[in-house]
Amino acid sequence: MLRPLLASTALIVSTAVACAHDTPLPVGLVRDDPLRVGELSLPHAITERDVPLRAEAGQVMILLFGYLSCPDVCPTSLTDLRAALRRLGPLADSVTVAFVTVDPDRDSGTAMAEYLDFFADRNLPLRTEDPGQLATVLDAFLATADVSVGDDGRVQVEHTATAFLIDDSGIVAVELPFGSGPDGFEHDLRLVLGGRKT
Amino acid sequence: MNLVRSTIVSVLLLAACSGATGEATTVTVDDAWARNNPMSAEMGAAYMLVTSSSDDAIVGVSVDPSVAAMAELHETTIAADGTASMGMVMRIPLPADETVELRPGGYHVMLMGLAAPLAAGDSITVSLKLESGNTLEVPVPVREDGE
Repeated sequence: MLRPLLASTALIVSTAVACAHDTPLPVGLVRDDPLRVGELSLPHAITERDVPLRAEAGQVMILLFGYLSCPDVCPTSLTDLRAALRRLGPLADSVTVAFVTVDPDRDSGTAMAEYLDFFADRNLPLRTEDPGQLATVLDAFLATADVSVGDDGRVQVEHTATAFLIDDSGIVAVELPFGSGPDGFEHDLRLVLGGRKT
Repeated sequence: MNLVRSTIVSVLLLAACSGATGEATTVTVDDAWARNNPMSAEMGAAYMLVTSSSDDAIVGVSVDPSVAAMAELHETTIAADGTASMGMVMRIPLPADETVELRPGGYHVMLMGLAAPLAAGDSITVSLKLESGNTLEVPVPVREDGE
């Protein structure tokens, strides 16, 4: 058990329903008081150097929590994201995909790196063996993760499936719920990148 | 999520029980696909749309050991707070004339212990066991999802 499951607080929901005005709204969720995560860091799964949870100047970091033996949710989000990055063309060079394993006991750094290379050129496999450090990061994202072993000996993993778009000041600009698809990723990445001074 | 309408399996299942009037049940599987995956992935997933002309249920699934050590029926659920969880299900109901979706983020066939990574362009066969006693052999093309 990594940490108890935590109910998330209420979210301010923005929708992309066609509006009468010209300002595009994100597909994902935007908080009145956005999450600030830029002061946190996690070890790179290979180099073990601390990686701050904020984008490079003028760029966007997309952060997901997951685990490699996740057959459905994680690869769905990552393939949707890959499709969106392809559509972005050169703009994708301003996007880094950060993947935080919630199952560090089973996910080796080497396997994480190979896994992420399959989905995105610019990626950061993040892995800590310190449950306290992972819990701190999860708390900052109002996210949850739980790894447990059932009576049948099977490992059960639950985790927040939201994708977090983080800007270069470490603010979570948009939170994309699972199932937003390539369109959702592309739309909100363009929106957040468009708001950056590059 | 746009599904490629690539595979249609339509199986005519004659009522096997004695005394039946000979009325036929048709189970149609449409849009079957499995996601290609990286070397490091030991798990895979297959998806499809299943429609039965009479009440039935999927009660089991299997694949050849050359594909994966084991296959199970699973369901992903996404809670209101965005938490994803997944568990095995023993039965996926197929109400008459309703199309039941096995799709990302919902019901799916979980392939456990892949013998080799699933590569786009490959095809595997998934055997679905139905409550009516019949078995469906479903060709499942492997493709890259996301477009």
